[in-house]
Amino acid sequence: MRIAVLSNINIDPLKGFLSKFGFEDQYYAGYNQFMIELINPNSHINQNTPNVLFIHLDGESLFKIILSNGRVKYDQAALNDFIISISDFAVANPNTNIIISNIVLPAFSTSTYLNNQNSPIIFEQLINRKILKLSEKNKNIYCYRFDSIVRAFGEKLLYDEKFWYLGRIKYTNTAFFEIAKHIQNTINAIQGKTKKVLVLDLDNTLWGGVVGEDGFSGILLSEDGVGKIFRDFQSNIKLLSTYGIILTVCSKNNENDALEILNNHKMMILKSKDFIIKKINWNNKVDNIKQIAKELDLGLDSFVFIDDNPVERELVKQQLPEVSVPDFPKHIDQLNTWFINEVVYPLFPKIVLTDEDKKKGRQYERNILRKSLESTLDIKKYINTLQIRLNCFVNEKKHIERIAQLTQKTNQFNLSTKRYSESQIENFMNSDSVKVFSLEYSDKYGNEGIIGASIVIYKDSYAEIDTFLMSCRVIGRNVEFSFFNEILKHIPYNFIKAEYLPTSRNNIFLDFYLSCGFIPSKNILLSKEQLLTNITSND
Amino acid sequence: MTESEILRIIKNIASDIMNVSSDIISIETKQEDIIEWDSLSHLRLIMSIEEEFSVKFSMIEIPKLKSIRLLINEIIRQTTK
Repeated sequence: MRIAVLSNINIDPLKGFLSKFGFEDQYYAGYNQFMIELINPNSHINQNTPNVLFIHLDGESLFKIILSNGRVKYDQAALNDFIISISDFAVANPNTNIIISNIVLPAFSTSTYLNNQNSPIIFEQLINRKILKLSEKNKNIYCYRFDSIVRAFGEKLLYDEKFWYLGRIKYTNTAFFEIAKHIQNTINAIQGKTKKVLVLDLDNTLWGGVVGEDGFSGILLSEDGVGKIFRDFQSNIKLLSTYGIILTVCSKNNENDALEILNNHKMMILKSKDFIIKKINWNNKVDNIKQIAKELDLGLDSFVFIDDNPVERELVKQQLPEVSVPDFPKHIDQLNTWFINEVVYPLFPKIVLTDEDKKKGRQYERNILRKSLESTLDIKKYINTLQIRLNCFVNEKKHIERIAQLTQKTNQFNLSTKRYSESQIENFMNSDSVKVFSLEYSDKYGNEGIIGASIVIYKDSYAEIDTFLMSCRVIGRNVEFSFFNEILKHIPYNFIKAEYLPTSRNNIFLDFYLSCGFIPSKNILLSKEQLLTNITSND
Repeated sequence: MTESEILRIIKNIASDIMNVSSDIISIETKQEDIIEWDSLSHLRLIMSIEEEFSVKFSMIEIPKLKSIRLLINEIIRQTTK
């Protein structure tokens, strides 16, 4: 493969890094020769059309003009020339894949906080919109997000002013290595040289713990703490499958134990049907993977095997060298960044989605969508579109741990901020004069688990709300009214009391408290009828 | 770090950057002895040495460090401070 590199700065050190990635035939136009190379019909790249043309421009030196009066402006004309010349080259050379880095201007400048046309950040957005448009119009132009590298590593690690002033070398070795790595990934994506099948272990990979030892309810998979890491991991894998990646399971378990979780565990994002093939048995994983390849009729070189167990990985690496076996992260908290950086980018890069990919993509809508809806739609409409489903439980022993945790962790939407241990909650549940309510929330995007709790004490002539709280995750969706409504319906008393105990953080609860008709610091009794009227007017 | 240890590392870096055999590099080697040791290679050599030994050369002295011996002396001076 022949690759040509054009730049307006000294980018020649990239050569050494690209050769380490296997690029042998590389051409570098002289410093700042990029425009002449593109438009001169006798130039090297016009005479020896490369397979890949990589264009990396330094925006600051290309577009920044210092006027004679000392003022700075960013040059629109230069930008237009640059866009036209690339576009012309792309049309004249349809077999050359052109990869353009998007432009990154300095984060800080003398314009400080001004957001006008002289501010580099504003001009940067303008340039990059044009580059994106260019890539949308031309099938052989691909925009590569150099700004992602700059965001991830930062100017301090990537730029070195000394070598810039000595020899127009702007970047450090770290930067050159990252650029080379992403060129490699991008080219693989363009050529479709990406993996097709993800083979996944189960215990300590898709969830925390071992189902055979910890049991169905003992595995770590939840919306909190370590369990959340695995849930997010599943969400990332699910998203990958929407890009057409085939998911399979290869795990050493009793099949029934594992299927029970795949089919029935509420916190599983990946469902049994997401896995095209499941090998859940005590056989050698090498044989299982060979079998999967046979059944799918795909070469082992399109397989990626993910397993937390180093022994299993080593075995597969040795016996099936075509299979990619990424090392598993040492610290489980890094599972998701590891997956994205070490697995998805190098092995499953995508630069365009095929129609087939897109069809799959629509099937799975992400949480992000839920957030974007929240900011654009009228709130009532938004709540309706969520299709919220609530489940209210009374004295449900399975929720003891979670309810105690909610009382200990919830600071904001909390009536009394009373903290209770698991054994206290259990005692409440065992008492005839106390009821413990828990609320499960789900909507069309998924199940959030138990997000609300309330403790009601039955007195002689009235019921007192001792605790009423909800996780902030679901605040703003009027769920609190429905929850309170359910509780009221359950209580066999006509008068209700609830004492609001203000803290430095639970001010948000006051709005709800007032809308119900309660008055802070006056421990009035309200009739159930009155409360229900107040609630329904808000709901 | 001893002079010979530093030399061994510099030989590796330089041969990698200039794409020459490390055998042709010794403590006596000067820039004019190796045709591949051009101004760009020189900057890349300095950049990699700075990273490898955690040293910093000033803009003024970088163009003057034109031999392996001068480089090693400067590294020793900075690292034994």
